Amino acid sequence: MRIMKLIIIIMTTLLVQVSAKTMAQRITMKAGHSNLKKVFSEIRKQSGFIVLYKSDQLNNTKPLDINIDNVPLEEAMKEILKGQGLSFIIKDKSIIIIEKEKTTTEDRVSLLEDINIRGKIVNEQNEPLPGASIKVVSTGQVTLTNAEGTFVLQKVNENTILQISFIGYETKEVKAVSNMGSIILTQLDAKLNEVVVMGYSTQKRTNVTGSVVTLQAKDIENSSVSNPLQSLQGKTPGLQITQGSGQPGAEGISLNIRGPNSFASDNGPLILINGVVGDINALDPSFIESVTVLKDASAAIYGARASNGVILVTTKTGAEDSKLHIDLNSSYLNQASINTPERVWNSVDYMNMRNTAIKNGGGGATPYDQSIIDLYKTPSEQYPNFNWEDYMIKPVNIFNNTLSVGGSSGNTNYHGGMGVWSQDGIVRGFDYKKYTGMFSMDSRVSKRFKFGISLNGIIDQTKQPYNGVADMILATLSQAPTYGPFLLDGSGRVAWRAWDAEWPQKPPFAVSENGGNWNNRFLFNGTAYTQVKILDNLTWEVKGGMRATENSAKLQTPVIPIYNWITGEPEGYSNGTQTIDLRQQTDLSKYYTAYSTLDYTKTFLEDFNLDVLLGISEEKSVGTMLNGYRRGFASSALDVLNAAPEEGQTTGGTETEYSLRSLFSRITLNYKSKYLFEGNVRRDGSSRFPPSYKYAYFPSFLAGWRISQEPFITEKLPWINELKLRASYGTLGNDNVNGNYPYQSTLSTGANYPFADQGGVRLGNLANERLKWEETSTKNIGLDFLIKNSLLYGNLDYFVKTTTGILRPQQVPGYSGVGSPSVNQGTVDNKGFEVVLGHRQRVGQVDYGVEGNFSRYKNTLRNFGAPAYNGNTFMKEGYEINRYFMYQGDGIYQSQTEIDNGPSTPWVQTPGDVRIKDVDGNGIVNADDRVDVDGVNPSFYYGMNLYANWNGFDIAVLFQGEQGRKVLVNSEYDGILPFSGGNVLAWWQDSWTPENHSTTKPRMDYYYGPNGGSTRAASTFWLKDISYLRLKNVTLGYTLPAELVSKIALQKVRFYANAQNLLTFTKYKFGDPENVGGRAYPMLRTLTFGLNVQF
Amino acid sequence: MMIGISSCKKDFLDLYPHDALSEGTFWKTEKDATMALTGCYNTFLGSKFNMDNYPLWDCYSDNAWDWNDAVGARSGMTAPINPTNGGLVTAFYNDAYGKIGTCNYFLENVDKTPASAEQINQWKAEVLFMRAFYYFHLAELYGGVPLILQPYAVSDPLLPKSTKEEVVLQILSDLETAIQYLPDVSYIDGHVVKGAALLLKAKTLLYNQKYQEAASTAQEIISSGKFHLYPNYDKIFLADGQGTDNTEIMFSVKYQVPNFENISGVRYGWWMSVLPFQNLVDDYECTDGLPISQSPFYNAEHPYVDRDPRLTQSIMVPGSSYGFPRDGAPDWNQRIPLLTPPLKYNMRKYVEPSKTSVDAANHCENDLVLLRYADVLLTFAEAQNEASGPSEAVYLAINEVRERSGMPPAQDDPSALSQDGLREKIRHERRVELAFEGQRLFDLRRWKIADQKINAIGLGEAPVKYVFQAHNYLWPFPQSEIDFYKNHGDDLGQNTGY
Repeated sequence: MRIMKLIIIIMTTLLVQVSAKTMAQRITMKAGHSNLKKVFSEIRKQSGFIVLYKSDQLNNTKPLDINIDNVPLEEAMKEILKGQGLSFIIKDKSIIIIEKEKTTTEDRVSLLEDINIRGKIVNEQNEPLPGASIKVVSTGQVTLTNAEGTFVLQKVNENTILQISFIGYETKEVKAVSNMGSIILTQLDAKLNEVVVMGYSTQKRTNVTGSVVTLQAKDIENSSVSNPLQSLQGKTPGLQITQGSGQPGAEGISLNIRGPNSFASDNGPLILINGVVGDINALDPSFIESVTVLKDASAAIYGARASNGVILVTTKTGAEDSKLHIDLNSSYLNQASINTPERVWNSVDYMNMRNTAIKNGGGGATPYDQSIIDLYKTPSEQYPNFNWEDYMIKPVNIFNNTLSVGGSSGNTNYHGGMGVWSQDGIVRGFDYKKYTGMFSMDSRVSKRFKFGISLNGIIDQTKQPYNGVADMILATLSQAPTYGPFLLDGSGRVAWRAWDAEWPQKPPFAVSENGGNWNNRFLFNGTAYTQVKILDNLTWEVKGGMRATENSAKLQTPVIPIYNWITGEPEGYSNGTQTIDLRQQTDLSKYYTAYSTLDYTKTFLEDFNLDVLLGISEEKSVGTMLNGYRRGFASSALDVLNAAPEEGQTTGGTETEYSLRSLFSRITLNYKSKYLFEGNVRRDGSSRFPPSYKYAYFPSFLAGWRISQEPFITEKLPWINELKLRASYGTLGNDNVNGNYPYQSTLSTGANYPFADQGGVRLGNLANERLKWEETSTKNIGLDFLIKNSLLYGNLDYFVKTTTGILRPQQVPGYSGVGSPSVNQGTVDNKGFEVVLGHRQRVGQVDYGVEGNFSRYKNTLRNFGAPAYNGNTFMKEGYEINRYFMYQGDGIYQSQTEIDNGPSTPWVQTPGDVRIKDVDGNGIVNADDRVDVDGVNPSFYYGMNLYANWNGFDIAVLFQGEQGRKVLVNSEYDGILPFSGGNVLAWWQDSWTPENHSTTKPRMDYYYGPNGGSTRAASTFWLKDISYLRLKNVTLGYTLPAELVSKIALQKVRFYANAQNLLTFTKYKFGDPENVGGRAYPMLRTLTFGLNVQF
Repeated sequence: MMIGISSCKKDFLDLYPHDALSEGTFWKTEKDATMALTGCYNTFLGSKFNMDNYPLWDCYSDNAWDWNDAVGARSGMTAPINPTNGGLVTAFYNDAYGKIGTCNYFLENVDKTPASAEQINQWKAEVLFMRAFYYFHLAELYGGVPLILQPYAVSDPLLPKSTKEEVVLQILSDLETAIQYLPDVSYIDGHVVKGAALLLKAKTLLYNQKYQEAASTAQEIISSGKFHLYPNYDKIFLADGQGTDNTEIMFSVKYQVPNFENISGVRYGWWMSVLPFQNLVDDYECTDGLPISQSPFYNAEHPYVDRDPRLTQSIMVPGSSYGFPRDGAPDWNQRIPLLTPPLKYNMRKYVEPSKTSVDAANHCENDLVLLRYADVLLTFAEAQNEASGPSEAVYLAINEVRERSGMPPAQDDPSALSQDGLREKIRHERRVELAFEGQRLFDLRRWKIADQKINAIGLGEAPVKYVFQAHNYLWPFPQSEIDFYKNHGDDLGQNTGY
């Protein structure tokens, strides 16, 4: 076991050093006429201390006689050096021999006289800084500057180091002299000086060489959202965040860093919470201290799982030296749907349009006679214009509270928080409740020993109707406006339709109230660590983490008798379901990990700063599932399996395991914080690969040059505060491929048949004993700059990523029969760049800033094999993954002559239909005339942040957008084609008719009718650009003046108003651009009014 | 300290699935063999021959419209069939080879188990029947295909396409072995019996114009006396007609509630996946045994009265009270408005009258009949008539089938007295007797009348015109297969016309 050996080596080294430190430093020595060299050697043997001297120092020494018995080291040394003209100092574990008359000032510390010193602290504009702190490093003595910015310190060793700090300014260290004069502090730029959480350690922003985005609590807290990921959107260049749904508790957020790497496996980044793989959805946004996104080779320290990038989330722990503060945040939210396309809920229009569509579509007799239509001309209760959308999708109000406690006491700082979130869905039948909690603490037990724990958990319940979102939306939209939800006789009977030709999918309100799908989750996540400073510059840390998730779900069928709106006659049961069925399922997943690191830092030759990190880690996860099903429950109140007969019951269960063992190291080295170098290597062993390929190495190298530290900048161009060139190269891995057992040749059970003895087995996939990791090599070059104290700042990054060995089923001939083995075959690359530009100033009493970001990538499939066509997309070398492939829309047929003169098509064509281009010009439109089109990926996405603070007022505005992505909207149930998903869009009201020769809107068609196939076919006519710009977030706040709130014993009181998704600018007309498709849960616009009180 | 976190277990990274067996330790016991044999039968449940798919095959013929495009017939038959348009055309190829692969794996390994030679031979015979069954359909649909008889290994060179004759020889040879070792009993529990192998052999011979041999093979089954027509035609396809007293079924895909349910009730009753065309309805004779064009019994006002009873036993017609009643209201009528005219019929075969609510219709257990004795009789009749013209034996065979449904003898139709006339009568009989049993598509092809019959399906019957081109007698190989050969420097040889 290589890891074992390594541990032993580390241990041995540690033990030796530790013993050196703790050995009783008492000396016993008896020698006559010995020379100093021998004596020093004996001292070293007995004390473990190295004696450092220059050989010429001993030239003039005399032989000596010595007789000491169990004397402390210091006394022994004095005795030995008596009369030799030499003195000594003990530093760390060394005894340094110095010449008495030539001692350097630094070595003379203990010999110096105490002095009184005075000075003044000013900023760059020579304005005094009252309240700045001056700390004597050696003694801990602290004083503050007065209103004039001056200070006095008494009885301080001359030349001792003073540390001068003031909030918002760079901390400075100076040597003490009696008259210090004016000491200038430079205002620091928070961005540059912040500490960035990197894998297993932290780095100062200035020293970071990777391509990294960092967000702090203040960037996250502002948005009133329940899922922390929503609050990152628009702020993270290179990290594309798409919210697929407005459903509470199931926002369907997908993450992608710098383009999809693989066509065969998940492209989501690895997310770690406090260093341990976790679920960010389970955190309340207010718990988060910082989020770091590692986009390039800097992620290599996470080796096997880093190829899609890494997101590091750190939860709050309370600041050191802060007093107790209690934060209460109460907010009131109002949510409503946005960007739902207008539909026709006027009965007369609806019926007329439906008649037209069916007539046009060749669908047969028109469903509504004029006599029926006439009934609705004067709407009444019996003959309504019932708007089902308004009835089923309504604004809701939410009251949300979070409470947190933080502070420090003695050597311990802590932070605890609780959040309660109860969100009714804007769509009936949906709701979400969550209780989140967290607690973390750090305790510095002694100068050398520190430990901490961090716990967080969530209990939540997501409720949705039996068949989920898509079905519920379809059920709503498939209603006609000609009837309401209940019969008018007050019997409470559910109405299903008014007229024979109406076949609404199911009554949506009744379905939202009966049966359902409940998902209860309990998640607990905990980590604990201890940190020991074995030596001043050697830190050992051990961290353990665990996560347990239990998901228990219940699925109960709704049983709804339905009746005709007009006649009151029974129409059977909604969806024909007459018995109550129940499925219960419990998923348990357990994950645990432990890692240990040694971190050694050393400054040598004065200006070289070295940091070496070495670590090992292990992770294991186990997931189990158990489910059961019974049918024929007597009542919907009986919602446990035992309440139904056993007949026809089924059960199922699965279990799957995964483990990972790793060894990793990082070396960072910089010269004067000017030339920066970082190397990472990780060796991962994964249970997912065969013995010979279990382990893989993932190295990376990063370098930086802070040009701004060069004299030609500091002297000639001092207004350039920061200018850094960065470059990185590394290999990252992905083992998240094809399940947990991709290489194993097994016979799958469950290939059963209804014989007396039913159990059967069958060969699963052919196994590939040489299965390996997917590897992504990534190159990044970047530039960071900051000019004139944030007058302009920014980052530019260019990257090239290439993923090779993409694991996918080997292309085998169809006749091979068995499932093809997984092989490492396939290459994808992504190239792109990201730009961040910002400006931040203070004018008078106004602080304000603007920051914009822009990201772009190009995705290309490099090695795939034979092209594969899948519906309206294809996979082909030289193109992006899943490039669009479909007929080319070519306007609208305006006349029969045009049809007769045009190419033959597989469809019955009528004027008003979409014209499909005969691309190859052979006179026949067929599958060969399909063309490829871009637009699967956006050409770029961007965000812009504006903020300002003035006298307690604060405003922040965030815009976010995406350009160039296209979606195909013709499919059944997208609801674009008239009556395909039930209702019809108002968009069709001025569509093509023989009288109205529209060139943009084809003739109304009926999805289920035979004609107009070309209008229905997948063509570029229906490939719509969804580019959008969204006013994602606006916050307005006011913080009461501190003097005022202190009178009522409060620390802070802030009122705020926030709007999420307030405005969207887009040409897309058929829904929300982020969450396309007629059956998606609508996106939300959230208005929040909140109060934040700190005690 | 540091050691504490490193479990140092040697097997920490060696994890195995708990719901699968390791190949290395398999094939050691008799039980292993029976489990693997069950695995071979299981291929039917997930195949294109299962209850979900097989009745839909008729949508590739002149019988019916694929309303939900469930097997791609709606799109495939209305636009010219091509190697990329999906549906059954491309899916069947890969699907069938998937099953053949399972069979080959069994045949390759079963000898390793310690069972008796006799036992092993019988198991092999069952699996050989299955392999022959799949190849039979492949050869009919695609002509010559690659003939793989061992488990595939990635290192194997590409197989050239065999000729159809070679494939047929292999089918017959597999069946010969199967016939030798299969038990000569009636079909009971789902295991293959000798009669099924004989019928498949007879069909293979008939489809390849080996009439005399086909007739004598069919005769062998008839003479064995193991199989008989079941008195209630419509019950053959429903669970309560599929008990041990039914000796007509010779091979079927078995279903059993709750673990082996099918959703035939939902698929065919509720979703209306197979919608018969008018010309099929018109093909059912009147009760006097004459076509509607000749029979005095035919009344255009009441077109479904006095007709061959199999019409309303197989098809829901306007006015039919069959189907999905909504609280007792009659129903097929109620659902017709949902359809695009001129469609107005729904398939009734396989739809359990007792499963007329959606929840119940999801829990059906009627077996899918793949081979039955009526087909033996019709195969005999056709082969014998082709070989030597009308004879008493031929009439006896066809009339046995007709009589079961109360239809008069074939000879009552004077046109059925000549060899050609009888040929038409037999073809007619096959169509109505075996409607929605996946036969029509093959029959049209082997009789070379597919273009004539299918192109006749115009807009008066189908919402979109059906198209059958001369080269469609063989389906195209899937483009993926052609590409695969091409990418490996080889050429499979696409069927002509594609």
